[in-house]
Amino acid sequence: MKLFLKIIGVFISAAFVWSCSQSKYVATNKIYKKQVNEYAKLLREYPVKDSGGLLYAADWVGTTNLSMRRPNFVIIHHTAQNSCEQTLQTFTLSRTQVSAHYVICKNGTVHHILNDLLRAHHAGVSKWGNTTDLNSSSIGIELDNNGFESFSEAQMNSLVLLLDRLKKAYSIPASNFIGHGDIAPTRKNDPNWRFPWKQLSEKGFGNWYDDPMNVVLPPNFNHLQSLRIVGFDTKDTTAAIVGFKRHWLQDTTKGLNESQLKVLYKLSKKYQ
Amino acid sequence: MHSATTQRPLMGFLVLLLCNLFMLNAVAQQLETSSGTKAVFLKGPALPIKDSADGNNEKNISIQGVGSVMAKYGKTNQLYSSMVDSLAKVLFRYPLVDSAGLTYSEEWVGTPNMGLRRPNFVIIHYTANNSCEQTLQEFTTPGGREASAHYVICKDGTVHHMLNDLLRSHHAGDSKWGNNTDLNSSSIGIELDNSGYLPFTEAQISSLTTLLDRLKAAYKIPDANFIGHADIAPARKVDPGSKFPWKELSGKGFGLWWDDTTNVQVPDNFDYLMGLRIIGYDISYPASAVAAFKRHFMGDNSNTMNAVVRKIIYVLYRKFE
Repeated sequence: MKLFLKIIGVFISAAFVWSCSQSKYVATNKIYKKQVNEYAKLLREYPVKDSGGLLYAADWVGTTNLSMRRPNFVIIHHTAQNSCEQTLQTFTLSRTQVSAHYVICKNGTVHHILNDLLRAHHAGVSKWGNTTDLNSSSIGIELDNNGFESFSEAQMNSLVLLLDRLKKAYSIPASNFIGHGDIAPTRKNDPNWRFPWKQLSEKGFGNWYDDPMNVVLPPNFNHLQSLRIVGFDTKDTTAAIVGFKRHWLQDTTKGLNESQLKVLYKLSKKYQ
Repeated sequence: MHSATTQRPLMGFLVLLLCNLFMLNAVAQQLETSSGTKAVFLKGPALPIKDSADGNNEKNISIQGVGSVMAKYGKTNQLYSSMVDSLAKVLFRYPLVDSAGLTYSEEWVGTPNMGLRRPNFVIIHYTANNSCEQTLQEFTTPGGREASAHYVICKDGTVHHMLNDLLRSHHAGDSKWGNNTDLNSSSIGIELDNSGYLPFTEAQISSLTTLLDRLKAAYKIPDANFIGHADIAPARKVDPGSKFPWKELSGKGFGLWWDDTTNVQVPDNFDYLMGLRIIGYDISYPASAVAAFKRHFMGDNSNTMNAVVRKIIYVLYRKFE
């Protein structure tokens, strides 16, 4: 009996030492793997035959021409938190139900926390054009930023490398690199107005407008139509205008003056 | 790969193993009926063996007693499950740490807050073939046009569910709707058996409606996002054609429709091309966009533009604002 207790004791202390040497995310990493397993099982399920009162064929015929659903948009966020560590904690708590595919820290370190082919929960209630499920059609990238400060050079360097890789891997068009504030203008303002959209657009990530200096606005120019063509949900026109100005004019005020209308006019041309 | 000499004993062993499994299964089933305990380890459909590369699997299948399903499409059905299997394996891959020269964190942190990418659109097609059988053959030919759809609905209303909704089928081709350039990744494709000239049968539309109802509820697809192949590829495609009952379907919540236009005043400065673009059309070729609009919303095969068309575009575009 004594020997037995001794062995148990050794086991417990070994387990203790082992657990200390492990990362604090061991438990949640296990949940990750378990969940992926469940989803993989779902894909392997034969097409359901008994639902909805449909007259299904007696013999099942599967197609041989298939692939995985891929992202077509990249949505950029700021975390509005004080550290990368804080964000990792938030994204590993099941009760928060929020996540992203990538988190980029201020020093440029990249955390790839979800397989690109799976759906992260980063967009929330959002709309872009006719797409109402941005989570299903996008990659979410979170930048460690308190919501007010500028983005560090190291962080932007890592971001550019990542965007380059994503653009190639999934043939994402230049116009489909957008911000969280664009797809949810009434609720969100990230990435904040300091985000260098123009610099990124020069590298092929996001659209930018040609010089609007000599533009003469056509008499039938309709700014709400233009915002909607760019992709904004125009149900709340004030919010859509603020979203547009934050992204393309680094301006957080309301309303549109003549020169800003010209910018919008030039920008909307890129989406036609 | 096995050489011919090592293959035979291996096959023998496999057959023996399967026989044993088969008997165990029978025993397990008996146990289940007598005591109510579940033999979980042997439950589920008798799946084809997925990872053998010798192409002799059909022998094993017949041992498992699912011969009827395997009659004509046995081989391609096996191909389906092995393809799905290798796609599913992609999900298991740990996020890559060595690509593109990125400074990745030393320790990997995964998030448990995730899901599978889901469809947000439904695209309706016609097959332009002479029979359902012809379409099934096309969609089970690898290396050809590589085309597929999630569902094929025959004239008698029979539904072939050929691909798991959560996977990507190859039905849209080069296409665009709004800013979305990968409709295959964000939609369900439904093919209706129709040569392209005949009206759709009542049985077919009735099955379609039941199916759309299920898809809409399952994936929260908005009314506006039930559209046709020609809408997303107006310069290349005409299906499901001018005979498709879009108005009837919109009444059931699948697709938008314009209302009575009698009292509508179209503003003088309304630019109908902007209207078409907002609805979703690619207006790179304006005449094609107009033709696609008229086919869908007016049951008309021409691309002529006039005040009536302009008014209908205006009324419909307001629903997409």
